[in-house]
Amino acid sequence: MSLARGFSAALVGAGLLAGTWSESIPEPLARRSPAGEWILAADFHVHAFPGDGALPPWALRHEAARAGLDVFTVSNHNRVSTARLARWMSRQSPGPMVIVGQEVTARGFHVIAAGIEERVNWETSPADVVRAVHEQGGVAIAAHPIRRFWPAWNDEALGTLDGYERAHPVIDRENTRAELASFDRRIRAMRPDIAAIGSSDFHWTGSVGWCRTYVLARDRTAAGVVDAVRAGRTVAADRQGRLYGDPALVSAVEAAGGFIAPPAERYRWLSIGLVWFGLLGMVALA
Amino acid sequence: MLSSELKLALAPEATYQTLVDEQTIGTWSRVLAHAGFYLLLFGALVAITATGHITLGLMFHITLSWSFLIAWQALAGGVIILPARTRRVSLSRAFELLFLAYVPWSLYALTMTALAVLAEPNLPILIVALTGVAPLAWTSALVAGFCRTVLGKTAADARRLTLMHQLVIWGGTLAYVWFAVGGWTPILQAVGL
Repeated sequence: MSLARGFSAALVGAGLLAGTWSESIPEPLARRSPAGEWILAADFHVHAFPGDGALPPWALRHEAARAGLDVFTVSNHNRVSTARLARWMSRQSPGPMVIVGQEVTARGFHVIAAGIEERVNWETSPADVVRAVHEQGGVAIAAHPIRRFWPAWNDEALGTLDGYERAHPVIDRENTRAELASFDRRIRAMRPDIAAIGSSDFHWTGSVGWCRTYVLARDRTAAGVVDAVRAGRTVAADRQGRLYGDPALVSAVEAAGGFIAPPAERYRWLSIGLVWFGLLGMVALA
Repeated sequence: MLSSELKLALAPEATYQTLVDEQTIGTWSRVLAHAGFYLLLFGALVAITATGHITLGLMFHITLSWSFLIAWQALAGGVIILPARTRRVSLSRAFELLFLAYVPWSLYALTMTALAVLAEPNLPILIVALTGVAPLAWTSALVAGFCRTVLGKTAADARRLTLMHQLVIWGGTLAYVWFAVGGWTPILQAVGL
């Protein structure tokens, strides 16, 4: 190996060591609302490998713990096999709980089905999809309800939902932020007690828990989390820590400490820079 | 000072000719080293793009999960290398030289990772898709150069083999995407149909 390549490889190694050394996994919190409910940090919209996500379930769970999540739903497009694998693996060791889900992906609408066991048929109407989710004991959440999905959400369909994504990474763009807010006003006028959900829609960029949901659950179990969504006991949070939902629930979460950002990693940029330049050197230099 | 990969990217036929003339003995361990490097590069860059940080464990898990990509690339390589009776180097050396032709994708992945980190997290998918045409065309030119210079094919045969090679790769990619997104509906939606 030449000196230039050796130096590049050393940069990669140093970057990996710096990143590994500076990684920080926060301790799980045991927060309670004034009413005594558990306040759990959740992400109901996460994609995994094998499927349309980059990370395999075991790495995803590690990242969820790093993001300070207590629970997440693996919700691949129109499949549940990876989600079931993820749940099985999650039961083998301590860490964030995994809920089996599916992003029911149809022409004109997407629905997050959380707490299901079998794949839900997507070739039907939104209301029928939600009913199929309920038949399995799950909850149905309107995924990223921006303008292009509005035509599917007529009053009948809205009346069946358990929740809707109030915070999603598209909230960082001005036009789609306004569209999420508009959908929020419309559905809350009809259903003031519906669950406000924050999700990352994690595939290949961003991070798990980018937007998140604080769930006020009676039990610290997956079933308890699904029940809390069904009962509308949630608060959505975006990346900046803004909270959305029922003002009484927002106050309860704020009283317990509010939004808690994942810990900053001291050498994150250094490690990324070293690895990136090292790899570039290994590709480009003799 | 420039690597063989980069020289190849800039002057495919001349660089392949030089590499063939070197008469280096190919070994399967060198093939594996090249393939392994590309896989590690993929694992590292996906870790950075997907999580905004990198650790040894994360890179290892991603690399392990996606290691089937190497078998897939080897299959695509086998489709054009194995039947070539006019090949001018050993079988293992031919695979090694073909792997060098993936350098445009390495450079593209490095660029996209930098953009994704700097624009976090919303790098428009349209930009990724449209700019992907550049490494696609570039790699095809390198593979065509490989077919002419290393496999000893005519220009017409080289174009045909390059097309076959890319069809195997992109046919497999499409099959995985079809599996990953649960059918055609999300794919058609993504292209506005």
